[in-house]
Amino acid sequence: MKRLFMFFVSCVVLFSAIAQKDFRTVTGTVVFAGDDEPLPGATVIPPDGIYGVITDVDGKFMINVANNVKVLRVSYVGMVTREVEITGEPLLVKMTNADNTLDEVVVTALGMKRERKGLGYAVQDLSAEDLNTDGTTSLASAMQGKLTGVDIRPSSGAPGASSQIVIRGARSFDGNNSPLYVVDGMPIESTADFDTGYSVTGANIADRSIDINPEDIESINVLKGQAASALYGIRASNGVIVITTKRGRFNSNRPLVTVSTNLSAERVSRKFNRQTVYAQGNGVNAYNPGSSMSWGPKIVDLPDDATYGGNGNGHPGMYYNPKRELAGLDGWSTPEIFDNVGDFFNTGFTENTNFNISQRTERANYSFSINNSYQKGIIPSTGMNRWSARGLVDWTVDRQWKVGFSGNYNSTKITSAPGANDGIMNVVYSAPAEYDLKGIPTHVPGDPTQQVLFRSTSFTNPYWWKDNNEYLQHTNRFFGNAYAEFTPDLGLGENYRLWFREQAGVDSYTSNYSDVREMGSTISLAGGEITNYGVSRNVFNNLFTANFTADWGDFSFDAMLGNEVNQDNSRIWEYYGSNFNFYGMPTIGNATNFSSSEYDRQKRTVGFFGSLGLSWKSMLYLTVTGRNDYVSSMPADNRSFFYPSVSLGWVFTELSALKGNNILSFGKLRASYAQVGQAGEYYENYYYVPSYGSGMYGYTPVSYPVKGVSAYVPYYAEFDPNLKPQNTENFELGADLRLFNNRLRLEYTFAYQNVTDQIFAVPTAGSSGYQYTITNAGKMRTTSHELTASIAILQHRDYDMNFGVNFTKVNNKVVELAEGVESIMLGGFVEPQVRAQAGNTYPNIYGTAFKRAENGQLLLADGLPQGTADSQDLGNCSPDFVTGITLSGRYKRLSLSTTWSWQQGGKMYHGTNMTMNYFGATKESLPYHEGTMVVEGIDEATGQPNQIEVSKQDYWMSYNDVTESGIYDTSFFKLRDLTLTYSLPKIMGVDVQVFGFARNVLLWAKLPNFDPESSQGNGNMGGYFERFSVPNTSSYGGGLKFTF
Amino acid sequence: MLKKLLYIAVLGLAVTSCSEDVMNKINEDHNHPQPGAVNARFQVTDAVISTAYTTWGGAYAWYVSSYTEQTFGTGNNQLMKTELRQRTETAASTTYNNEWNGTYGNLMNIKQIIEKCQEGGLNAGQSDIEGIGQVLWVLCYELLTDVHGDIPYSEALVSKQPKLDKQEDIYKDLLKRITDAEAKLQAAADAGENNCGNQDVLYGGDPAKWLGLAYAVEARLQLNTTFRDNSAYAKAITAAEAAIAAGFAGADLSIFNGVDCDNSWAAYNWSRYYTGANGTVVDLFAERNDPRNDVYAVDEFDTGVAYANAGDEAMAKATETVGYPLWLDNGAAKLHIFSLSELHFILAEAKAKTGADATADFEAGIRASFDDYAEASTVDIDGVDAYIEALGAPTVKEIMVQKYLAQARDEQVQTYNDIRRYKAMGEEYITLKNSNNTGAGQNQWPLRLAYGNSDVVSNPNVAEAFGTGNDAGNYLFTENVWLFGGNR
Repeated sequence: MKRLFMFFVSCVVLFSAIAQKDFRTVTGTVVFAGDDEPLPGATVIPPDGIYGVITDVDGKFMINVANNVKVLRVSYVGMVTREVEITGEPLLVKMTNADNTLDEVVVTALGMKRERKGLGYAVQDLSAEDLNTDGTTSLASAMQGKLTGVDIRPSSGAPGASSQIVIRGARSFDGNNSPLYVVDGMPIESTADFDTGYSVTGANIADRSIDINPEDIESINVLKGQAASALYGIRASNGVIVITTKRGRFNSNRPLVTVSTNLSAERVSRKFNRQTVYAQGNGVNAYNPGSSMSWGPKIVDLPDDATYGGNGNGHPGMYYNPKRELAGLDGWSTPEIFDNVGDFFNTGFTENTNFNISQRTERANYSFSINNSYQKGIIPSTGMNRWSARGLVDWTVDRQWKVGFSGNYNSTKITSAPGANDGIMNVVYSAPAEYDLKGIPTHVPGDPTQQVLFRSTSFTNPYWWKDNNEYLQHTNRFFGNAYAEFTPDLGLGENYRLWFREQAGVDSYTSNYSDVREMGSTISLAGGEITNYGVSRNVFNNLFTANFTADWGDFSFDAMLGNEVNQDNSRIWEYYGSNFNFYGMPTIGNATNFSSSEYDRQKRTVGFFGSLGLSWKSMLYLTVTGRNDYVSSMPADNRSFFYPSVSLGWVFTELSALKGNNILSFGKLRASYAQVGQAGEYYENYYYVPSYGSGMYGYTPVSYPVKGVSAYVPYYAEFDPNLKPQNTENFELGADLRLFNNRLRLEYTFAYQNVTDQIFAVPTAGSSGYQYTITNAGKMRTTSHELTASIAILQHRDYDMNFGVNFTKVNNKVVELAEGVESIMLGGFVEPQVRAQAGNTYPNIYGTAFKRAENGQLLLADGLPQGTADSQDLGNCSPDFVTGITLSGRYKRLSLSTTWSWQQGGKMYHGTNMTMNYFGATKESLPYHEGTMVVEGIDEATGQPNQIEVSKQDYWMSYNDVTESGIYDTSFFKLRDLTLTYSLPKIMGVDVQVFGFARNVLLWAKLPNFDPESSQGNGNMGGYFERFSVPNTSSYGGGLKFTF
Repeated sequence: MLKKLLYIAVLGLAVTSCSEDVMNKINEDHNHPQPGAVNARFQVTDAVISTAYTTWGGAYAWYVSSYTEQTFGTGNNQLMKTELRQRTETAASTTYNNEWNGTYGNLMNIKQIIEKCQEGGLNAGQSDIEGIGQVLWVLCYELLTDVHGDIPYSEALVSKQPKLDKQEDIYKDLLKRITDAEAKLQAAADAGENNCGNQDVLYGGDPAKWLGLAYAVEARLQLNTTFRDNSAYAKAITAAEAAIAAGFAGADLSIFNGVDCDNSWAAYNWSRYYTGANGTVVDLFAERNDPRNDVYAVDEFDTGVAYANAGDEAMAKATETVGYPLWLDNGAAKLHIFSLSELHFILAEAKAKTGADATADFEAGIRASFDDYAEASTVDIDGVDAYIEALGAPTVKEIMVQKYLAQARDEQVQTYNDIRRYKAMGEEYITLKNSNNTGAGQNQWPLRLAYGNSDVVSNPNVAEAFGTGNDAGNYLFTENVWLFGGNR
């Protein structure tokens, strides 16, 4: 690594002295074709150049170009980019308003530039302007609602919350389905350091895309299909997100400085409004100040309670709560209603500040930026603070050499809150309305380790939690690369070009995590515990390519050969301490029991690849690629895999009969085929040191060493020595149409994926002695339909209005699993779980269903609903379709843009709704607190219609005790983003933009009480399994941007 | 210039070295040992702990103790549903899944221990370790088949989808294996072998002590078969006496300290508070003026509720209300793999049933139980002599009641066997009082326990036996296991 850097440095020194070539000056004016008014701010640049100029207020420009440059490219945001020949005269360039981006060159796999109109597969790109970066720190959130075929599922609105991004459905049952991220040509790690496992305990763990500052992005190109990404080989089966960071845009003799800041406030997007009529208790007849539930008497009737009422007991109008007394307050109080949910949530706060300085000169292009993002979560004590710095330089040394580097450093610190079984939301939501959760002290006076809570302290008082416990994530990361490009003069003229490119980069980070639970967190954690763990990771990536292009009139040809090496070294550690000596210092040093572990892992992937492209008359484009990868993490005989792709684009509007017509301005049909694989994580079978901590235990009661001795046992998963890579075969067909002078644009893609030889941990019968076998089994088949339509409704120099829709329908079907395996678990409890089940779409929810008679009626026992003894399929998670809608308009200096999302269908398990129903805490439970009823259904014992009368409470609890009752439709429609921007006239040479925005504000959802975009887990179950998760947020804010 | 590029290309290829050797080295796992490299004595440690902690002292016992009414299920969750005999909880294949998987996982470890002791293995010829492995094998499989009936056995730990074996056949093999273990351990003891040392956290590797346990286990197996084989009483006596002769003083796991290593019952209690004292036990204590009641039903929450009567709905739904035995707050309490009192009660019962004098064993059983209660509760319990005297000459009924009371400590799974065995024999010495045992016009008291979910989902043989949909698990309430009168 060091050597390579030295090599680049010496290149820079060596060639900086090479003389400039001869230049000439070209002048001209750029105007808007509609009214011939000048266009200030248009970019003029030689097509292969890296430097250009912008037009002044009169639309005029002057540029120095090399003598051999024959044409200039003129571009203006929102208008057709034109190439004009240099004639020697001042040029007059007329720009048309029409967003025809077809002539653009797009960056495809491995940095290859290709004409967009010739691509045989779908790509979608987002420019900086398309991203909703205000009021968020997350790239995933900035992209939401903008892409077809890309499913973005945020886990919550918490600072640093993970998002699951899946392109065209999953390919792996239980493995990685996230796309590969490539930043400035270098692949970087984007998945979370630790997955949250079955996601039933602990806090969410951020995914590493959090280290990408959305404000640094110039453009994102999403390579969705395998044909687009096949050149990236084994890592690319999930698609690739190619990110280009910002660099100097305009040729100028002084730097361009941009300072921007935006601030926003966050609220819970949908606050749980619980019932405020009935008090704490297990039944309406008696108040019970220790119960977890709200089935007690009416709050207004508390003073009449036989045991705790004050009426007739010397405390008229009051009731007694022993928890108040325990906390040092008067036990007697008058019934009151408290908004415990509203009290607990803060108003969150997000700040993003960016400073950027960039410049493009004739030879060099540099950009430097610093960013700070600061967030305070709606849950007290949660937040995030991210600092990042970035610099890049591209330097055209001479006609043959070009060198550059790009480096990103950032430090991300996140404090988060736990969900599910460790959740504090459970306590907040279930707190009885008459209990002053905020006001009653959290502990016994003088002893902070003795918690006071309305219910059993097997759960933690959320206010005590805020003061004492912590889930901390802290990452320091550097990623970047340096490159050199050499274009030897072949002496064959302009039609032949050969160049070599060598790029070396690193992605290096250390993440430290600390899960701190102070003394007295729960009964079973009376002594407290701390887990400090982390990962240190160093990925080195070297890419070498040789490229050749040739132009033979009607035919063009290009070829590329290359080699890539990726070496990944990581070390994972964990230090655990428990039973602190004393309260107030929850550190490893203060613990009295310790255990620790370390783990290191190396992986190497070596790939050799090539690509050939041939085009004819700008009408037919054929591309063939192949890549062979060698992967260390597979068994010895199955390390080498070859992946081919072929794609064809036919621009049929180039046919003479169609050429130049005004109705169909452009039409293309495209088709592609590709195969890409995914490697597994293979080891030889081994022994490990077991411990005891699952199931009913709230902690780990036994861990080795025990009495000074340790133990080894066979690992519970078995590895198949014949493991081979899984394979994804992909066919894709599509059409791109532009109508009415490009005002209406339609893109449609149909993709078919056939995934075979899935690698996954096949759950095995416990009686086999193992719980999993890591092997190839199962098939998954995905079809996806993606449609993008956009209409320029109004087009004028002074105003415009654009409407866009992107529609995605993905059917991700699990065709078969391993023999005899009906379904596999992705996450959840013993019951319910998120699973992959043969014959269902991926994934589905699996749990106890209602026992039903043949006619579908509930089969009742003693008059009450009951669940089945086995777990069953309770619904498919993935939605029927997802639609993103954008509507934007501009009038002179004022512009408005909105992004909407509409998701139809899909199911999730919502444990919070279900449990709060069971607890009698929801408003939905109100009709069931008193009285009796006869439940409609069939009596299982007699087979006759039920006639047994039961209490309404028993019915409601029995009903909401069966998982099927907790399955909800996730259909929703929401306004994701609304941004209003006003560009002030230049003030003293400074451009000022003022903007206001609102995110995630209007929500119509089938799910009651909560925002469906909040759930447990950062893996494949993410988005589908909810239980006391941290809630989603809405944000409102504004900002300023200065450019000078 | 081109030369320089060639150098870069060569450098590139050098870095890219990807020969099999290099790749194999990169993929080496430095952090875990290979199976062949681990001496079996390191495996014995967890084989012992897991047998006690997961198999005999885990969820099987926690749930079953509600069925036997030796504890009361409370806390408004799983054990409340168990106490109320809600079928969804009782019959769900998920209920015992952790213990099912854990026990078979432990059996895989035990199997590899035994294999390593055979010819060609790392521990070839170490008959002490092989004998220990066989005893643990029998203990684990005994529980599985006792509570589940027919289970995967002959193909288990080999096939991915093992078939079910008949309980009758499994018991035959277990008896054969325990006899084999006795021989191995005898030989090891005679030869003064001790290959485990302190890796054996039960007996410090002493084969003589393991021999005592092997005979005790054999005695229990024989006792369990008495409904099917009346001559088994005599065989049980022979084995139990051999255990005593070998110096058997109980197989108690005493690794716990209550600080960073907790008894499973205490850990479970502190994690959940699902276990209360049961009125059925309290009544039996009261009838006998038994001092052990003072440590059994203790008002730990200061609610005035020291125990609850079996099936009490309000108390089952209450949280942190019902009192519980003192030892559930003692994380350092011993966990029984096989208590001394049980061995004495086996002898007493077998002798009483065969017309022999059971007095000495009856008394020894009670004394062992008093000691155990006192030690686990860290208090003194006086008056055992007077108590024994007041009981008079032992009857079969009183022997079974005393065994029931002794096993309320932490050996409820064996009580569950005894209750079912006597039901099969048409006798009843412990009257179960939970009114939820019948409900909705049918039996709600499980005659056996549900298979682990992993097999119900991934092993068609078990799935078929378990049933699906509305029928899933219904047989648990209608069909006894073979030992106790059923046929599967």
